[in-house]
Amino acid sequence: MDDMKRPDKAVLRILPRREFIRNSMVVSGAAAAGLSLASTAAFAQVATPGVDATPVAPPLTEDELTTLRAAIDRLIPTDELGPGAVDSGVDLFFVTLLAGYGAPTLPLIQGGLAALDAAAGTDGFAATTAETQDQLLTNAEAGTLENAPAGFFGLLLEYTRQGMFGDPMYGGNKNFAGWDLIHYPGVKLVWSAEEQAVDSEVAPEHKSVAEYGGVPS
Amino acid sequence: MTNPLPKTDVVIVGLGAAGGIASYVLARAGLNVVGLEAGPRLSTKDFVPHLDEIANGVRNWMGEFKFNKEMPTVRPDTKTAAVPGSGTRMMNAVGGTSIHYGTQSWRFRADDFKVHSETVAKYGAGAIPPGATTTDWPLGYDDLEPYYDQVEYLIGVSGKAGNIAGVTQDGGNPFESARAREYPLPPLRSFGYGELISEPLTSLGYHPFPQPSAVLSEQYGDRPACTYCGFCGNYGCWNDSKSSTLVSAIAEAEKTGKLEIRPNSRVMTILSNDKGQVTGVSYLDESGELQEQPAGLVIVSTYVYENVRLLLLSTSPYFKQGLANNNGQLGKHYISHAYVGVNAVFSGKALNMYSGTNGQAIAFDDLNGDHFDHTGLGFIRGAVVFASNGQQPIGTSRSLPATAPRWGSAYKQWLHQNANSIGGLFAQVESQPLETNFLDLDPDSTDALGVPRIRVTYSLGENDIKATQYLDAKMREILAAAGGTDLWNTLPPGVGLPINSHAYGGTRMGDDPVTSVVNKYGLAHEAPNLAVLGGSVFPGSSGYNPTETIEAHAWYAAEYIAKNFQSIAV
Repeated sequence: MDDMKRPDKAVLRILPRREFIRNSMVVSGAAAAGLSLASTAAFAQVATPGVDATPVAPPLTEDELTTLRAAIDRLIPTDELGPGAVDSGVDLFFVTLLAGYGAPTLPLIQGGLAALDAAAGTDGFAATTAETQDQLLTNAEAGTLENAPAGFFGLLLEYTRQGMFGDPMYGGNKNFAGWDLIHYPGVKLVWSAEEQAVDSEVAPEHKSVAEYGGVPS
Repeated sequence: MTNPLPKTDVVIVGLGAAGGIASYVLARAGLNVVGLEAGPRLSTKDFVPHLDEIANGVRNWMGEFKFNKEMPTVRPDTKTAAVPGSGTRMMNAVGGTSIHYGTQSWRFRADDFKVHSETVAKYGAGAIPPGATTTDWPLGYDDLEPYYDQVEYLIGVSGKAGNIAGVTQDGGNPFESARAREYPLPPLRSFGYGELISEPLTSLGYHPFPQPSAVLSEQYGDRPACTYCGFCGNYGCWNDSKSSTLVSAIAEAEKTGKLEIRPNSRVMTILSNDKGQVTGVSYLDESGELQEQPAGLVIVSTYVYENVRLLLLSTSPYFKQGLANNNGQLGKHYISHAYVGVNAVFSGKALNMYSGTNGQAIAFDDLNGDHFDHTGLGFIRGAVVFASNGQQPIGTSRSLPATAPRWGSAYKQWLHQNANSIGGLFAQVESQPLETNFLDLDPDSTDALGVPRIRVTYSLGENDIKATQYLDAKMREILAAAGGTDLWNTLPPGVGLPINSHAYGGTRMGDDPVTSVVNKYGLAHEAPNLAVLGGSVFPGSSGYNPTETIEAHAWYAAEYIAKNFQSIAV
């Protein structure tokens, strides 16, 4: 069991046999392109390279995106513990999701964002104070935000968590900020007995499955 | 439809746990077998790029080939309209859900096959829950023991025997029914939280032991040992260490040259003649063309919902209400396993449970079956309880005690402080079948191909509600004794799951054609050359995970079919 004490060696032994690294340098998706959200239209065109060459219509308007970013940054804010949702790319995760797998839920998210904006007054949700934003989100959570579709807050929070704590190849969890926060070491193909003991320190590996040819599902 | 294909001996519909084992037994007996599998043929090169929680735990990518698109509808009773169901992760591929299951690999105990008679003998007829159709199985543990043994050695199961030929073994399950010999592989290795929770368990009088698991603790044949990577339940194994039928029984069956696997082949109907005999199947092939495959015998081994649906859809002048359903038993005696789970924070301790497998677990059986006196408790039977690995990041971010903030900086702080200090216990409760729980075709909802979905009519019974409450209290006591705080339910007591990856019944096995669909060999009472295999034939659930019993029974049935093929086949 020598290999177990040297995880990296064990992985290297296994990888070529299993043809793992066939595509190891082919890192796909928006995360790999290191995209910012400077332009959602530009983003949408490269969101799924090699999967669908047809440019996808951006799912959210610039205004909706502004509101979304303000909202998810209250759900997981940047603070002394590290980057929050927007600094970790969770907005990017939403755009990809709502243009693809999560498209059926787009109206629910849009309806909720509109309700947040409407309740915030003329300048919209993003322009209000953090205190007001928290109050409106608390109302949404309690189901008392006017005109918010049922299930909006729960879905917003669920998607934010998926983006923050899911594999970075989906756009969020940039620099493994979400995984570091919860002490998840990242994709780690071998755990030793010592590492499974209580109170042993497991070093972060900071590996995405993209390193093993992963593509967003 | 094109002309019928050349006739074969046996067509197996669905190559999962049951169909995979059956294909092995029949092909090795020299029969020509065609395996029609609705999903694709996958391998490690497909599993490696999917080691991510969104693909598996959230989106169930291997269910997208079929199961996700035909999710049954659900309603609590016949007076309520059915709504779309959700949640459960079954999948479609050669190897079926044995590819991504949690690998808990239990044998049932002798009393699990005799729940009705043993309950009545000890507590009287009044102890059977009102409305329950609890019954004994038409076969017993001794019938299946040799097949459990063969399954464990064929696929590779890791564990510690508790009872070899009547002699109790140290370190195993003291409640186990007698086995002929030790497991082929030692248990998966001990782990920190398992040791932590074993101490209070022992001092409280329980008997913890390493849970048996269909994951290789050591090299087995040319398959390597598990590396405890943490991508197991809901994932295909990148290392071939998980003992799916894909890498064991099916791989061996193909070596005989007698098994032809046709992936991406979806069976639409089972064909039968005016004598009540089945003659073959019609299916959509890889290119979407309808084909007819004649066969001397058809085995339906998909899953509970699709087994029932296929039979209900396969009507004929002889079977106007569905194949082998002239007695109206299809869809009856439906059971969904009940569960209850409790988590706790072990403050300041790094538990490192983002590793290992669900099968790497400490379990105890003291609260299962009739291992404790039920007098005055208001319920019968119990649950196996276990503490397992395989924690996942998104799952961790969702599962919180009532005291934890759900978002904001305080939420981040809570996660940072506690996410690696969460341990729990989970109880899998033996559930009793009820007359009011059943499956039928939804008259108002179809899947993507326009085929009616299964409609599940289901409510958790009073017996099971009380059992989950009892187990909830016991698990809380144990976790508190272990030093856990902030206890919360990962699944609260009294909550039933209408759709479940542990579903049973619908084509119950029994001796009486009036109250069951198939006999103990899985052969339909009304259509003697049709066999149905899998959890849908189970009369009861036991407290254990079903897969090894599904596999052992498939072997038992397939061996009988092979030996008697000339007289059974048409």
